[in-house]
Parts: sequence; structure tokens; C-alpha cells
Amino acid sequence: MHNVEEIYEINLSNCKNSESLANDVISAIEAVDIKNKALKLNLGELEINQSQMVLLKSLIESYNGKIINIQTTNELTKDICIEMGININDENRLYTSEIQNAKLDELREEFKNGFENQKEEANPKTDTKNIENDLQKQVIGVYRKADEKENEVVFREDDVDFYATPTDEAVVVDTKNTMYINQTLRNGQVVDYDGNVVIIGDCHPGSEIKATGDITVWGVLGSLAHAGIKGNKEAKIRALKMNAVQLRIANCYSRRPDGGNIPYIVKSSVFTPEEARVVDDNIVLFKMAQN
Amino acid sequence: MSGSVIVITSGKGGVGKTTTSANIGTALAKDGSKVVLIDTDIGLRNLDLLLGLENRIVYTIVDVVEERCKLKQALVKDKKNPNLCLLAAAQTRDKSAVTEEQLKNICEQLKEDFDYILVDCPAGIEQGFQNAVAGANEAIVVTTPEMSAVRDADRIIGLLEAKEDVKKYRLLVNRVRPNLIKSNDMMSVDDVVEILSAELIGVIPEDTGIITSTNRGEPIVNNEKSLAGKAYLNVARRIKGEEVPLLDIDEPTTFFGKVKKFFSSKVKVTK
Repeated sequence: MHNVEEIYEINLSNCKNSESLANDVISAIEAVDIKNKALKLNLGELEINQSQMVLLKSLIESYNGKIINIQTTNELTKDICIEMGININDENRLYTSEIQNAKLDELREEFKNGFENQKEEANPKTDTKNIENDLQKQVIGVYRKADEKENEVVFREDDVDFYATPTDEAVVVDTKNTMYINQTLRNGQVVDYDGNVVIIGDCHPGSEIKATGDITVWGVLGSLAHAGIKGNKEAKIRALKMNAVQLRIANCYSRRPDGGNIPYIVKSSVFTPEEARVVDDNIVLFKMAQN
Repeated sequence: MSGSVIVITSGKGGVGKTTTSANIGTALAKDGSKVVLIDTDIGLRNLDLLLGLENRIVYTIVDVVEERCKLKQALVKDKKNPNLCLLAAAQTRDKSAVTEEQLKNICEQLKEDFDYILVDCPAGIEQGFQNAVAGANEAIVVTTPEMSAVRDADRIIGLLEAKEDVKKYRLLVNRVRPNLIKSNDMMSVDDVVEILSAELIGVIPEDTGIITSTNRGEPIVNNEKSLAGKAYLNVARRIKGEEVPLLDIDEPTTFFGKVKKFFSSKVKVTK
């Protein structure tokens, strides 16, 4: 999350084409420290297509900056800015991600009881004799609000309000290698890869997926998934249907609520693509934006 | 504290070793003893499902022997009963991942903190069985009143008698159907005991509630109405050394049946 303190304005209206734009942007953001700063870009009449805008946005975000406003006179650029949720020529409105963050905070407060996240300790204490304490460490977070009543099956439809609102953020994929698997992952099978993993098929309970980058499952994810195993908290786990026994990203753990393992309830033809991300050391599920 | 290590084994698969482990473990823990269940069926683990602890497993027995974590970190506490713990098997490895010595070592360490260590044995008489039996002082041999299960149990008892550490073995006859015994279509419990000439620790009737309880991850001893649950509670009391008479599993459900039973019990029918 960005703590926006100061606003910088970069004037790029003199640029003739996208190449000189890129050069100007880089020289501008390297000249001043834009970390945690809000940026206002003046693009003048320049026409920018969507992929160029995504690149521009991710470039600035890689320096921990944030675009809050773009001033342009070009109609096409205007349209793309609106599509991507960036404000144009108007300073009074909150930008979308700030609204989302506010909503997220509310959600997090609301379901704080459901979240019992705990970070894995790198060096477990060896001197504690107390078994109770050690066992307590097994209590790990849930990624969905669990029903307190025993012996009751929790239907997924009931806890839909847990999810955060769909985001308009562009999907920025890591530039690591990607392993592409076109099969159903069955009980006992392990995928362990240094990079991103894409699986076209279901992942059955009992299998394991470990990747240093992102994990994307085009099917039902019913197994254990661990993204960013080398500590990358930006790693994400996506699936057409999320039913994972455990989700782990870097050193954050979360588990499925109890009572969700009855197979005839898990199977259904309704798919809601979801993405798991780390937000303040909690693993939060987001519905993927629908366009 | 020095707990006793009890292995639950059968030879034949599908007779109810894992169900028995889960239920006896839960029953003992309900009574106040500290119990740890060890799943040694590496690669085909099920005990976690029966207890409903699948989503809580972080470290497994293989992580313990390969020293990726401490033993106490790998113990998963039960949802309801803090006296009950599970040491889960790894799903992505096979039986050769653990040796007899390592399992013996784990049992010795757990003896200090727990009253009962129940080891759920895999089917068969290969490495998995040898591992599970390695640390045990006692054994419960599970069988059903079928010829194939009884033969396998006989083989297992032979192997157990050859082990010096296993001081005592007792027989548990599972999935008994009184109606079939009455119509002479099933071996009676007495027949099984006679063939195997072993001490009996309990008789568990066939119960459809077991299927529901397995799917829900909730051992049947938590259901007070279930006959099988009562039978398992009695087995747990016998393990603790109490003298408990065998449960009357021959319970007719209808009122008419009860009346009929009352009269017929006065006449002993001999075969």
C-alpha cells in the first residue's frame, strides 16, 4: 500500500512518439526519488495504446511510485486511462485503488476473527519444553470465513461477501521461466519449479504445487499450492475454482475452513476465477475482474 | 511418564484399521489420557481425513526424520480435544522414506509426553508393516468375520509373536452383523476367536454411520447414539485396564423384536 505524501508532475507533452516518451519517463523518475510519491503525468497530444500504458504503469510501480492523474487531450489516450481506472484531467476524485484499499480495510476488520494468520518461524526456539506452546503454532489462518457451527457444511455461496471487489489492476507477470503442464495433477504428484507454473487441468487433493513465481490453474485447485517459495510475497495463485486444502505464499500460510472436503459438494459447474494475494501477511482471495 | 505404544494392524486392507485408530484414539483422549496417533501409511494417508485435520497438516513424519522440523512442531492438535494429536504421513513419498530405527526413535521420544501412542499400520507385511511394528509394545489385530481377513490376521499374529518387543496382542473383530450370524451366513465372533486363539479386546458391529462419519471427518465415538461408537468406547476402557463386559450388539430395532428377544433369550439355541 502506498502512503502518498507528495505529488510530482512530469511534463511529457513535448514527446513526439512512444520511444522518446519512455526515455523521458525513465530519465525523469531516475532524477528524483519517486518512492511513495504520487505522479501526475502530462501527456499532451500523444496517442498511447493500452499495452504501452500498462508498461508505463508497471515501470512507475516498479520504482514504488503511483500514477494518480494523467492529463491528455488525445481521445484514445483518455479512453484507455478511463478503462484502466486512472483519473484524467480531474483532481477531485479518489483514484480507484485508494477506494479499494479502504474497502479492503473494512473487510479485514469485519472478518478479523476469521483470520488467525501466523508466520512461519525461520528458527524455531529449541529451548521451550512446553508442548502446549509448540502445538499452538499449528493454528494457521483461514482464507475464508468459516462457519462456527459443527457438523454443518459451509457452502461457498454463503461467504461470498468475504471477497474483495474485482480489481482493474493490470496483470503484471514475472519475467521468470514458466512451466506449462497439460494434465490432471493426481494425489501424490508434486510439481516443484523455479519460475511460474501453469496447469491446464484439475489439481486433486493430495498433490502439491511449489513454485518460486506465480501458480495459475486452469481448472479446480483442490490441492496444496505454495507460490513464491523463496520468499516472494508478490507471488500470486490463480485458479478457475479455488478449493485448495492450503494456500501458502512466501512465508504466509492459510488453510481451508473445516467441513469443505465432502466431494459431492465441491464439484459443481459454476466457476468463479479467483486470485490469492498477500495483503499485510494475510492471504486474501480476489475475484478476477470480468470484462 | 512412560506411555505405551500400541500398533493397530490387520494384514488385509479395508477391514477398518484406520477407522479403529481414529476412534480408539478419540475415545482414549475423551477419557483424559494424552494420546498421539501416528499414521505410518506413507503415500496413502487417510487418518487425517477421518479426523478432519487434512487442512492443518504442515509438517509430516518424513519432515521429522529428515530433520526439516522438530517432532513437536509436526504434531497436529485435534479440533475438539486438546489431548489428541496426530503425526501425519507424507503423501508424496513412499514407505522407504522412513526406517524402523527412525520410527522406534520417534516412539521413544513421544513416550515421554503421551500416555498412549497409537500407530496406524498400512496393509500388507512389507516395509510399512515392519516400520509400524518396530516401536510397539502392544498390538491390536483388527479382523472381520471373513475367511480371507482371518487368514491374514493369523499370518500377522505369527509375525507379531516373532517380535520380542511386542509383549501382548489382542483381537478386535470389526463389521460384525448379528443377523447374518444368526442365519448362519457369517462366522460368529466365537469362531474367529477359536480359529485365531487370541485374546479378544472388542467386537464392533457394522454401522452405516461409519460412512457418514468418515466423510465428515468426525470419529463415530463422538456420536453417543451409535452402537459402533459405544463399542469403541468400551475398547478404549479395556485398553486402560478396566473390566468391561462385551456390548450386546444384538439389538433389534422394533418393539416386537425386543419382545421376541426377551423370550428367546431364555432358551439357548445350540448349533
